[in-house]
Amino acid sequence: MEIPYLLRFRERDKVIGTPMKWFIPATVVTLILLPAWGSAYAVSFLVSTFMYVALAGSWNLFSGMTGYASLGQGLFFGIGAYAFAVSTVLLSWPPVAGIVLAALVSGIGAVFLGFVLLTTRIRVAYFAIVMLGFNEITKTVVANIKAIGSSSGLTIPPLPSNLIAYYFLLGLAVAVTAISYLIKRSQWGLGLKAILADEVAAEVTGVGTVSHKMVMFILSAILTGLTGSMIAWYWSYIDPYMAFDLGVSFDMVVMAIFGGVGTVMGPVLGAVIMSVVKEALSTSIPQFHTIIFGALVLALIMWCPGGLMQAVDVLRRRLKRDAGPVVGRVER
Amino acid sequence: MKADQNAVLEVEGLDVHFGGVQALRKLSFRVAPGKIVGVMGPNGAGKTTLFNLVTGVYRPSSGKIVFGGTQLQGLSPARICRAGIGRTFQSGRPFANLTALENVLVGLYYGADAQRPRAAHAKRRGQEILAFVGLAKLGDRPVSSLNLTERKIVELARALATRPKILLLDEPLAGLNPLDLEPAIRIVRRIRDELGITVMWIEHIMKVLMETCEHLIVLHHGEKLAEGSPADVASDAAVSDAYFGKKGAFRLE
Repeated sequence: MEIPYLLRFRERDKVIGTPMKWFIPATVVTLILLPAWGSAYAVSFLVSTFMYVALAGSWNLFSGMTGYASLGQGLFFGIGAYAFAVSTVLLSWPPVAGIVLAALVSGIGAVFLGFVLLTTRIRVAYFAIVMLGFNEITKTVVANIKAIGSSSGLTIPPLPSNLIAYYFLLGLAVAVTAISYLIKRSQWGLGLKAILADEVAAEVTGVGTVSHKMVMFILSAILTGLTGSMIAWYWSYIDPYMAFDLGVSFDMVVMAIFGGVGTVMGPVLGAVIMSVVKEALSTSIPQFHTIIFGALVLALIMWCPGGLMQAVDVLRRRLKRDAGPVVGRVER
Repeated sequence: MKADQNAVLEVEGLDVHFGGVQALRKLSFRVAPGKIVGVMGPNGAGKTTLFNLVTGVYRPSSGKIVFGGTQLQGLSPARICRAGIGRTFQSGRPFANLTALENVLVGLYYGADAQRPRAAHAKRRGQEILAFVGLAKLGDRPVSSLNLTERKIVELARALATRPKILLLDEPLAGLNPLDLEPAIRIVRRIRDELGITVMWIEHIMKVLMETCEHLIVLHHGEKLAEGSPADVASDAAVSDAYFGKKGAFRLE
């Protein structure tokens, strides 16, 4: 029986170990208090970091947990951004209503796409490409609709304070991670793991695979759309090429895989590290960070298919010389 | 748990073709509750296809599958599982990313019998099922660290956890170490004898089917070649022709 490489790493049952028990709340509290003394630069850096954590985590909720890798999940980021921009700028809705609408439209979009793509036994590779295609189609369509600014985009009244984006996205990042943690511990999460391992075997064991996939897809889309709506407001301008940039879709995938597909903390780690690398390199050598990061991801995945979460586990074992139970070991 | 008298599986005029290939042709049979029924036939006879149709993995081109009075054709595999049909796969397909106990838990959480067990209770039930198949000590081991025999038995335990009334076993003995054959056969017997679950059993080792089953169905090129008690089937001329050719020197004993 061959084991797909994504399954070779099994996350420790105690996802949040004893040291993490105080480390995570402490980090969150520090981040809540940080704007009081942090510079504007720190805030803007953290806004984009939170955005990436929320995006990678949202991607992981569906693709990481079911194995249906979506290469166009950024579609919902764009949909959320446009829903917000159109409702607040063109319809003069209050921003809160714009954000709610973004969640709603992303969710409805996911219901429609999920119905087309996930109710049949489509191959994972087709799904990945079709999602990418939908992102591109939507981009082109939006760029050709005059009523919503076509390719020149929409200008949105700026945020009263960047702290709104800061706290909203911090909350979203924490929420995505918490949701992922709760789902993984639940019976529903066990069903998802079964789907990830072998969808047909899961079906004949009674797992309602369509409902599991649909719910996770819609959840992932809503959270991605919410991120998009706030980022649109934060940018105070969007055009189709920013909103439906394939870079968003790819970043989600790469960060989640780098950190550890299907794990709770993996997307967080991946997104944080990638944000730092991006920030360090993008000012001096723009776009160069993608090469560095590509090499980094490749090297890591060849050594540890389970990403950083597995690398940490392997290192911890080496340091402690701990043979331990076979639970976290790599199967070759 | 005793056999449910309504749990009769009836297959009527089952036809399926994939493109131009007719995999099953006008297949009809009836499985009485509480029996161990062997399904045999040469490679490509349609045995696994039959299981895939009964469990909803494939859809029949025409024909009826009735189980305990409900028509199954067109239902999703999950619904069919919850109606009381469990199965294992030929190659052994337990969930490799889970432990043995978690595999069984999936069956307990999602299988037949609507009320969902609470986690603590489910774990106890899971351990009982693992003990029943003789894997009590391996509950916490990830399936990826188990050998083939253990994996296939975990899969069997997972199917049992869905509380089936009828269990479809697709070559449970294939690939097993010869030393593991006897214990595995004993488990299948106990599933019927102690749990009262009807068993349909595909196997290539004819001696085992002849000795264990009360009823045999022989498929050949997608059609039913013979059906009856092992003694009847063994003396059936058509069966030995299919297996050994018309002038075959061997005869089934």
